[in-house]
Amino acid sequence: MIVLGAFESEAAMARAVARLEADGVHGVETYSPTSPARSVGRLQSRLPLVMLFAGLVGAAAGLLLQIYAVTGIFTDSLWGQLGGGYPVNIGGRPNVFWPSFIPFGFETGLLFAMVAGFLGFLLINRLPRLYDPIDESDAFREATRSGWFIAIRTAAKPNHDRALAALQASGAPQIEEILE
Amino acid sequence: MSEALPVVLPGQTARTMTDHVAGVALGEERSYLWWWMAFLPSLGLLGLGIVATVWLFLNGIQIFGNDWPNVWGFPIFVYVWWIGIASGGTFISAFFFLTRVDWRTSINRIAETMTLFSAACAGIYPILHLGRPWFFYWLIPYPNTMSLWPNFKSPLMWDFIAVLAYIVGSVLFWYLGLLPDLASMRDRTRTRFKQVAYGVAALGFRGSGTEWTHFRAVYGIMAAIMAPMVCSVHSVVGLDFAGGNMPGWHGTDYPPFFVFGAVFSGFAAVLLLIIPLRRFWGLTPYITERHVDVLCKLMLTASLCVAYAYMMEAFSVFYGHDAAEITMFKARIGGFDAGVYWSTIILNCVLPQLFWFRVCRRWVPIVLLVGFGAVVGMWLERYGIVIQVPHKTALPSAWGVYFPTLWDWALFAGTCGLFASGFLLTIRLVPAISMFEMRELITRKLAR
Repeated sequence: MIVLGAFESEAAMARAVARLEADGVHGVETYSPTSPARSVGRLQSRLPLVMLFAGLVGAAAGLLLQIYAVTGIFTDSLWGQLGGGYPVNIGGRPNVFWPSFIPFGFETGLLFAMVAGFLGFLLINRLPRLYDPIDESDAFREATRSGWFIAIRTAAKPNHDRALAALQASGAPQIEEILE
Repeated sequence: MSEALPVVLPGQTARTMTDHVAGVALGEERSYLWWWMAFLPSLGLLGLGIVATVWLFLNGIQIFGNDWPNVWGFPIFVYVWWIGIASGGTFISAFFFLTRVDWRTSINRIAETMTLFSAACAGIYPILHLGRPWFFYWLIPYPNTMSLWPNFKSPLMWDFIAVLAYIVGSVLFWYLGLLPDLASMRDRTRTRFKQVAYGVAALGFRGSGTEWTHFRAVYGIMAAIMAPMVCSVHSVVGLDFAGGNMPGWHGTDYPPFFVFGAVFSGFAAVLLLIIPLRRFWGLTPYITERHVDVLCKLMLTASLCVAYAYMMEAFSVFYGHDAAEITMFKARIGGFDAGVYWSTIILNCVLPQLFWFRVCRRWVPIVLLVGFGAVVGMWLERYGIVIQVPHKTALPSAWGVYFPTLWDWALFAGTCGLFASGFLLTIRLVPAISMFEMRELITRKLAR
């Protein structure tokens, strides 16, 4: 079951969230047309760290790939036959001339970080998720325009009654119950 | 001063703004006549480009004017021009996101969409310019039975990976920023087909607190990645030239010189796009005179940077005192096609000085004239660099001149068609203004 409360403004929603948190209600989530000033449980995203890590991996992979291409080191027999060891003399510089490898490594690093950020965003939010029981509420369409919502997802009946009472006490002007 | 001009006209709420902007994309405007009048000719140009491409594939690059000493010709200078225009859009959407300026919100969608399609035009040109375009994937480093690797020490290889990363990055940055707006569209529309289409495109974004937290974090980091990336991409384009031992190209000033020119043409292109859009779709409450004013000032700043680069280019020729470079430069400023050089100076350095005056920044015909002049001026600048410089190489026996053929012009018109039709189609189907950021701006302003 989902208990859905609609609010007129962000401030009203934020007050209700604070109250629900103080009451120790579980399964609380907000839905809002823009990013709320603070999320339930003061959630911190770890995706920037994921992007940093992916970027470093990408840059390292880009650099190692170039070193591999011109020297053929880190090769097993099969890979040694297929590739590697293709030295190129450009202006008489050393074969492994790292300054020439910076642009490629820099771009692969940025590319990996961007892709990791986007895929990480989808994975962590379990997107794409084209249907959610909360869509059954007509009022919920306002969440992408000007409505501020609090949804409490409950599994068991007693929890549901407690959540409903808590949301009523928090001062939501409209409350809706949705079957999952 | 500009503080008197608001970024959003009074009387707007999150609700009215969303209904208006989403309504435009949902086909609820009174008239789309102007859109069709722009779109159909664009399709015609795109068709011409397809014909030119087919003819190119059948006959090879002999249909172009490319010949020694101009082996790059039209395809590469127009490529540089397009990627430059793209850079300006990313500069606005990423760089000014990081600086948290409030006027960025209304125009970032238009700027990013412009970036996508000008980067697409830029992306196809070097491939079409290859003698055997079907082998372009040889640039991708992969283990192969020929035991061949691309030359990682060449700026042309850096260019490949930079443009690839830039196009992928631009698409992801644009699409992530579009998800909340696609969700709004899904919830606004009443027809089943559109609900499904926008719903699938929105990937099920519903605006939950968790989604917003991760969204904000990822979007911010993406902006922080795109800002240096756009500088690196155009710097690498500059290195394509500076890496060659050609008098006139072989200079360390090329990377910043190219970046200055890129953002200059990009700002001008955004200006040329927002002025008709705000008028025809009644977006004036959100894209106000403030935005036009700010973009004019940015153009002026970029123009001064470009002027500095031109001065340094001329200075280093005579300071370096290389006979071949001086010969080349004298041919550029006084040769039979010196008009290209002087038009570049007038359009890129002199004309934008009008934007020192507020009356010129507020007067739409002047703004359009200077903006269009800048786009043309940058086209001429790229022409000068790619076409005119190699006319006079260090080896006098290799001197020559270049004339584009009809097919050169046809393919160029085709890329203009690709840009215009792609841009128009996208801006017709997705909100032209980033609605969720606008809602934040409006609610924050109301709260104040």
